[in-house]
Amino acid sequence: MTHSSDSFLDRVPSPVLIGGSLVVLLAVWEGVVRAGLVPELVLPRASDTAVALYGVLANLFSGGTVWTNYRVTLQEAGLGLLFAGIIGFVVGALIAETAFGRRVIQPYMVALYAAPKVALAPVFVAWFGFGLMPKVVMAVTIAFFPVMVDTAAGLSGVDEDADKMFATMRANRWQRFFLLKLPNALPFVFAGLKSAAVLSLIGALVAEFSGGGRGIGILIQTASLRFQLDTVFAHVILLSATAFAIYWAIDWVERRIVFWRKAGFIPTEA
Amino acid sequence: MSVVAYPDPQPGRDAAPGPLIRIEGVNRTFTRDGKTVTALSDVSITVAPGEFVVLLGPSGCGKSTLLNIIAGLLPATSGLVEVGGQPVTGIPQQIGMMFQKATLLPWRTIRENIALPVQIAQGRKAARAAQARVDDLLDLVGLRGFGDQWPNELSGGMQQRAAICRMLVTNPEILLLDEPFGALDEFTREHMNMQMLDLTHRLGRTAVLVTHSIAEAVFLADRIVVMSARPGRVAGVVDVKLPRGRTPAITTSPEFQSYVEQARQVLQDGHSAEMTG
Repeated sequence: MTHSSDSFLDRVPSPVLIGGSLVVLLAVWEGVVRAGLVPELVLPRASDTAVALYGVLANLFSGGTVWTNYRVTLQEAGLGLLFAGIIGFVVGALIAETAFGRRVIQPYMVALYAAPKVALAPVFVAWFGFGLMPKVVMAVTIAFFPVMVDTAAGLSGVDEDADKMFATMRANRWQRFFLLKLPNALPFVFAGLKSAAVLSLIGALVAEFSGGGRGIGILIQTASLRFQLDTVFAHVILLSATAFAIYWAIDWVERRIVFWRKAGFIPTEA
Repeated sequence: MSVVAYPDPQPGRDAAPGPLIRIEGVNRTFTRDGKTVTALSDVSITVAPGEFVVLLGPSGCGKSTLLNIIAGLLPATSGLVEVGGQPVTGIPQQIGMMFQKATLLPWRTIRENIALPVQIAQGRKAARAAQARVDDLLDLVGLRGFGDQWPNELSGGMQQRAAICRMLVTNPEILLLDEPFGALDEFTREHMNMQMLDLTHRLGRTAVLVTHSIAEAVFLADRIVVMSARPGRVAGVVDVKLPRGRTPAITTSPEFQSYVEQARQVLQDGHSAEMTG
């Protein structure tokens, strides 16, 4: 007998559900535009977007303009993630572990967190020019927050009894940090890194919008000025897939490093 | 069994006469939101080497606070605290401690968890060198073959047995037990209590255990220090003169029942004193 709360949807396998709903969604999109309910200038057809996406991907893999620009954006976002990870971890650890971090650094971080950092993009361009620098700085500025907050939370969130146990073992500060707090914080750090991966790409893109040079942001801007919304959509889809891939890669690494988080089989004692 | 090969605790412990733990006129107050609460008021107890002492009392009587003071985790506000004839400042070297939660680190195997105190005290190399000893301890608590498992693969009772091994690996003279089996089911708990009692006696260790179960206190103790709350203080002491080598069967004997009654009476007197005081 099936459980009464099992709805029809609970019994459909996920891939089928996602694939099926996507087909329906695309069909509705195509139908709405074809029927003239929405002007094509506002919303390109699904089919046109697919053609544009094919064009973008073909260009990307043949090493054309899309590739040269994609490479730049990827580099910005990659460096952004790297530095966001390092800075976020170090500042998070300082806040969690030192009085200086807690009393002096933390208030500034809270203020900075509340600030609309995207608005700083033109400032960074003014400071660092049109090259790689302002994009990476923007990406780091947006992306390091989750790493910092999650690292601090993970380091502080140690079980009270485990902490007491380390005290009774006469562990020093460093032993406590490396043998207890750091491993305990790892799942949090990875959660922060996954958020940072997505935010870093957004930061790079925002800086490209206001800073020129090269990058997918420039291609999006150009296509948008020419009312080629299908191309804009194609680039957005490309970037989404990229963000998803980075996210998934970090998750893959996490599952290997933080192996103990997988649900364990707990036998009951006979 | 490998118990025979078990090394002696700190040499020279027989050389020090007198009590191993001495608490005299200890007070402990906490200040919260400007209000001062007395957790312990004028507590005096001594524990002789090899003795199994149980601190029994309701929640709020300060029994865990007292244990933490002996462990050096918490300073006394005033009074004398001595372990091994030395005033307690920081964590005494002679102690091993256990809590209600096993607090095994999930990223270490059982074996690595048990060797952790050795690693902290003497480094990674010493921890690797201690593996034979870890195997002995696993045998001792009936966990042979589980050393390479991960903590989350073990039941609660097995995790606590691993925690016992971890406590014993540095050969502490004094075992401080803060409701170590309080989170386990009744049957597992009874079994673990028996095992703990047997271990403590065979290894000649001194133990101070905290509980709020009267039956558990009588079963384990050579001496029960009954405590009462508000303020936390010693309400009385019950000497349990039941023979060693106790098994759960003893709990139905008249002597056992009479000790339970005695302890209950002291608890009640302490409680009514609290009500009228």
